[in-house]
Amino acid sequence: MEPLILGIDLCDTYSQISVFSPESGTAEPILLGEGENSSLISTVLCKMKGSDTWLIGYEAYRRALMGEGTMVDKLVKLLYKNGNATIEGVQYSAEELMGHYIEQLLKLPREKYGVEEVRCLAITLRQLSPDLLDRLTRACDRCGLSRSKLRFLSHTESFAFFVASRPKEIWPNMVVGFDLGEEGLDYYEMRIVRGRRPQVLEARRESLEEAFDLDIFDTAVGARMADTILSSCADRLLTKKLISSVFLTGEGFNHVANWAPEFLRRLCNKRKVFEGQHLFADGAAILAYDSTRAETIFPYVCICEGRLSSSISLYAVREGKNEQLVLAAAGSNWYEARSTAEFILDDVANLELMITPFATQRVETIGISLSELPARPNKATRIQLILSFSSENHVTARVVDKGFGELYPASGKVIRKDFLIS
Amino acid sequence: MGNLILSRPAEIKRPYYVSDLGVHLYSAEELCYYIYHNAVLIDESFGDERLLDFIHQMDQPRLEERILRVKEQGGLYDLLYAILQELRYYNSSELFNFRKQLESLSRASLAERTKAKGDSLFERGQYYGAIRAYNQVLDQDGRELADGEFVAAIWKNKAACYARTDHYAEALADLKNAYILTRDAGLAEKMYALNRLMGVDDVPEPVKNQVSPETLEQFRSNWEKRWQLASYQGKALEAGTLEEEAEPARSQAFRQLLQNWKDEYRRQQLS
Repeated sequence: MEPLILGIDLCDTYSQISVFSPESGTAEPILLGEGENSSLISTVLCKMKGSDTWLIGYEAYRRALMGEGTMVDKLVKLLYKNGNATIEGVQYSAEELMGHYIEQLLKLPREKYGVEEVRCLAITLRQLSPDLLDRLTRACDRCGLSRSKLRFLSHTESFAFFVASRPKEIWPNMVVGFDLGEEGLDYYEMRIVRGRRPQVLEARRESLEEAFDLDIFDTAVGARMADTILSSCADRLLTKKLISSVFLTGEGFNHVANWAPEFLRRLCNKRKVFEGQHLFADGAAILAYDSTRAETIFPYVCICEGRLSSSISLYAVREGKNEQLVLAAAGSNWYEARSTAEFILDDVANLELMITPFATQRVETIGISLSELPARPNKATRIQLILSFSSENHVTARVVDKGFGELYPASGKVIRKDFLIS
Repeated sequence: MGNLILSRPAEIKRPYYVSDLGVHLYSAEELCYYIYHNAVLIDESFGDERLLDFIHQMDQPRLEERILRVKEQGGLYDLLYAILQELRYYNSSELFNFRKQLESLSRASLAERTKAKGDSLFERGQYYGAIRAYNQVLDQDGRELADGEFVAAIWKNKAACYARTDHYAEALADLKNAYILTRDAGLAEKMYALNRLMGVDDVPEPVKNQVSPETLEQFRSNWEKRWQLASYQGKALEAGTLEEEAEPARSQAFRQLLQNWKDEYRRQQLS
């Protein structure tokens, strides 16, 4: 079999892992038992006493309850806080623990398909932050995963890729999604804006204040209340919108037909409604597959959480011709959008970065003064421009003086400018 | 408003060494800059195997071919122009100016070109290289050597090179040669200054009779002023400003300054 193409939905309570099959063109979850819910793997880790054996999921709970090992939970939160946990007197960093968790998670498809090699792994999280992604990258390093095979994406992107990979009949108009879990209630929207070349895929997430604890389902009264809350959400969010399909996901929507008649009645109003547990993991696996291809299967500019909604460019002379050079394109994943380029200054005192929002195409200019660079003759200063992102809106531009070879040695001066893009 | 020029990425393992300037060139841009600003320094040895190897590393097969063609059919200046034209580091108006510069150089005699090379090296602080260039002019057999002004200018420039490298006796000897050719009384004060640097409070022999006691007194007064001023300028000033720094930054700054001076001295020696 070919090397594995995997998607992991990494959440604080449950995680899931899906495998993409290029032959069938679909993603399939790894199920630990029978039934849809068996794709949910608790994000907990248990170290067996006196050995270097690590367990995850239900087995980790079971062994810890039997007193055979020590369990750590809330691994994503721990990684976000860069915390530690002490097990049997040994302190483990959150990165180490996440490394063990991912390693055990990867064992599942490896054992199922008898394939060790991973071609690409995409990890999707509810929200992306630069520190979290850096730590997660290092955790994956511990599993021996090459960084070039690693991708990260937000749940919003996963949702968008999952929907866009479905037959077109499902998304002629807007598609929405509800995700109900221990971590909250999220609402997603995705639509393809036609009439533009390339076509634009717009997606967004809204964290709903109406989120409730899943213990509410323990009583019939609580379940009715949940139905009422969700119905009012549907009234507020879906009115006056042309919606083709609705996706429900998250452990909260398990057996939704039994407890939310009013909510479903509102959703099923001339729309297709789907319920499933592994939407985000499948979406991640689809992106993983897409990134292994020379040509994308999604010919869209994707504008959503985790993606740049503006392009950053500047004018530069290349091969004697002045042309617009795009440093970061709208629609690229901000975590991977870091770009570096070197330029020679030809009578330039200010660097002018052009910010072009994809939606409006109205150009805004951000100036960076180069007056702090050492004075040198014209065309004898090389600068390195580094653009990095700490979110889809926060940009840091750094200009590093590289001198001009041995003719004018570099001073190492760095000019930094932070700015926001829409 | 100017332009940003996108830099050409190239991994150069064997940089091109420019012995006149004592530097290595690592990129197409540096090569263009060197050619554009130093055409006067470049001689026939420029287009040798090292240049071809350097261009080859830049992955510029078209330029390589053109260089080989120009080497067979044209001269050095055609080669320089071809490189600048092919690498497109300079725009058309800059290339036009460069072409004019090359035309002017090609019209100049060998002695004039060699003197210009010496002048250029002097401006860059490459004093030993400049002295070598001036000596080459003096060793040549051109018609310019019959021009007293031209030769005197070379002696004067040579003297300046020697003075800048603390060879005062040689500088004085060259100034005397310039004086013999021009009888320029203005050189007397320079000679007096060189004598003072060697501990002699007088003007040397060829001009002694030309300088009255009052003029000598004026030279003396000017010298004292310059000597005092010198402690607030140049290297003294560079070192003086570091005194204001607090330790340990001061010691580190002094060490760095000393290193810079050593590097500067080595560059002069190498040139």
